[in-house]
Amino acid sequence: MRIYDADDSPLDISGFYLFVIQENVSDKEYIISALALCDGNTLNEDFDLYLKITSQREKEIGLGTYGDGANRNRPMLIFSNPLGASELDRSATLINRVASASADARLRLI
Amino acid sequence: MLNTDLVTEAFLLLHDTFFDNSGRPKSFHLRDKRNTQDDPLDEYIVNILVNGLKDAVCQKSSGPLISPDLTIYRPNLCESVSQEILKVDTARIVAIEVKKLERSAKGEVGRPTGMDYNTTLHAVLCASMTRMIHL
Repeated sequence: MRIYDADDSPLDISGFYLFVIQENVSDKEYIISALALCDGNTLNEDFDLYLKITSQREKEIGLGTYGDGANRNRPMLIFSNPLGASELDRSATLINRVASASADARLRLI
Repeated sequence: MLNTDLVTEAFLLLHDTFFDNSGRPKSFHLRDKRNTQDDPLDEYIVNILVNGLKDAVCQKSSGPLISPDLTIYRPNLCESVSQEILKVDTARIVAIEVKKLERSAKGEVGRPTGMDYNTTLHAVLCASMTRMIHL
């Protein structure tokens, strides 16, 4: 993912997506019934595509019959959601290509 | 001292917060949403990481339409390090984007897809980071 420092200089760093299923169990009480923390490169390695879609955009105004319409120019690309796989539902899963992730004794490799 | 993978650290914190030792979900309280873009769960997750990561900084994005939602980094390990190293070394810095999904009445995950790129701005790190990362 790309971030910027306070001088507006770009810095590209590893990016992960935290997918969670949030369920309401009572008034203002919730549970997370499934969770997957997934390396973004596992879902898409095309960084140029990522930059193309996430860059800063100009809003078009004055559109439509009455000139009160606007186009926010916010394209949306959709990729796979790991929790769509039944094997990963109802559990917490770390999807990481870094081998050190398996070094912690509390993690079970699947 | 071995510097652990920040992703693994974050995952274990989130697991221990949201699941018990048997893997069953633990309930938690969330405040009401204040407006359309407000996301109390994002805020809750950031607080878990801010309070749980002892030797790393967790910085939330400055606004609701800014990606990524949060950045975790160890300031001392980012000092005088090249961009190439920072790009891949998740013991130094990593970004996380939160994607919240819902379950249908039938108990199925709401949608088979979920990772979307639709943000308009990238996050800006705090001013102190400027001095720590040599670009």
